[in-house]
Amino acid sequence: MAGVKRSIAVDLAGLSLPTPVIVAAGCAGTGRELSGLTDTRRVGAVVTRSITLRPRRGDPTPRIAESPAGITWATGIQNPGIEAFIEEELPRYVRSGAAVIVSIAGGSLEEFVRLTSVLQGRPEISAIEVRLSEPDEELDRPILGAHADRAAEIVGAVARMSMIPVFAKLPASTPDVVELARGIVRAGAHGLTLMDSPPAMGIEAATFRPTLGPVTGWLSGPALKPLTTRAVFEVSRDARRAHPRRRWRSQRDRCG
Amino acid sequence: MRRVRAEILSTRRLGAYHSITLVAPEIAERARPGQFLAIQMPEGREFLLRRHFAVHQASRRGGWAGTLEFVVDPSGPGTEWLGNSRAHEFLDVIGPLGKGFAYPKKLTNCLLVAEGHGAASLYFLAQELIARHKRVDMIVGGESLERVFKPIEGKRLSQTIQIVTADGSLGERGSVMDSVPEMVEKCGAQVLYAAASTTTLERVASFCRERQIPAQVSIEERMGCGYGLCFTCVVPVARKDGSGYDNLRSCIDGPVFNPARVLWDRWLSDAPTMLPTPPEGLPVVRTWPG
Repeated sequence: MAGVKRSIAVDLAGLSLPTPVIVAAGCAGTGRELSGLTDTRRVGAVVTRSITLRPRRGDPTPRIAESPAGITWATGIQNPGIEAFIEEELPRYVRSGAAVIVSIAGGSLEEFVRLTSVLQGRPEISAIEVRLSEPDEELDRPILGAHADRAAEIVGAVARMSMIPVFAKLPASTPDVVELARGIVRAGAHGLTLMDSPPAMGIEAATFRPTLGPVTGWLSGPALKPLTTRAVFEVSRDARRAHPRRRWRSQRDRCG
Repeated sequence: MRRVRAEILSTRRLGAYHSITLVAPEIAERARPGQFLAIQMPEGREFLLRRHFAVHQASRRGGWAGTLEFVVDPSGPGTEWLGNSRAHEFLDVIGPLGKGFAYPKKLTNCLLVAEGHGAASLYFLAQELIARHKRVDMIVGGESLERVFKPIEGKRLSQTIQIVTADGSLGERGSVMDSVPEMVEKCGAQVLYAAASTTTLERVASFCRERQIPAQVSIEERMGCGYGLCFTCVVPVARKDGSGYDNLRSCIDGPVFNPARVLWDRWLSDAPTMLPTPPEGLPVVRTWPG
């Protein structure tokens, strides 16, 4: 419509964000590295790098390698632990001006519950993102969130404790992403993040050695776009079928 | 740290290396020896990461004011593309990145140990040290004649210089480390700076620890972004209070480290060994930075 300034503001599970662009977990470093390159106030929100209960030193190097159409990487979620994070990093993220979504990771239900309890009652945090791709220490499984029941258990526990929206970041290596998403939403998640990096590995042809220090890692980069597009399509189609009467916001609703 | 679109002023071939001079006054003004640049590769699915190069020369004054020179060692498709770039093309550059070398306050005799393209940042350091009235001696080495970087420039900058090649095609035969004890005696070196391969740096570190010589080394670890986001270029460094170690990012906390605090065994022994060993006679191809 002529003369009317169209807004791209979105309402995301109760969070009103000025733009729908969110900086994904890890891509904003520790909150200050992007400052010379971009203005983070212009994005809708910033997801912090994944934080665990205790400090983690991470994986051995080399931690990164280029591959066709992607990057394989493995940092072993190096992070200072939740206490040091709240002391040092969180204020920097908050000062950057964007809404802050804290990404939490862990290997047991207890770890997630304790992380959530530490994050409760902090007004500077807008939402929590639960990373489910870590190994499950309690049940001894390689990827915690790959099983729908376990993912629902973890996310449900976090969502029940949390007074702010909780987003579940779905692992890419799940047999049925729709089933997983359904279980997690039923358990109480306010939203889904689609999706985490798929597990990956590379071998250097010249030396017969893995390109990454911990041998296996994750794949990022343009190769993931079709995988993610399909996951978003399948999950959103299922949601529309499950709740046909809910008024799903579309671009036309807001502009028309 | 600035991101600029910089025009290439000139390119030169120096033995096995390519030297590229850029017009980037914003970066040249701030760059110090030991710092590095992150150069964007052409748009394409095989070049997702920037390539990183030490600053070889940053001119703040004179006819070359505002220019910046770095040295490319072609070892893969990305660095070869950069080596073939021509004057008046544009590069997307982020820099200056990292912490550079620190200059000694009281000590005066400095020994600079350079191997291969490591000499690029050490010649810049030598100029700055000379400007601070320090005595500079050098050991410059490489695998062969064409992999010794600018030996004449090294001679011009240093009081005494020892040139070493692995095949004996220029100077002494051997590795740069073989000459270190002798040069330390001869020049009365009080401080040691090194930019070399990781194995050489480890030997430099153990030598300096034995002799109690303060040293600074510029390390190379596989790097993703270059400005601290990705946490991939980490090096285990002991804490000052001795309470353990931290994995520090070599792009933010380095690439220059005190070798006495780097845990070399932990850093280098972590090489994965879970695959079969390659058959004999397979050519060793360097694939990083590529």
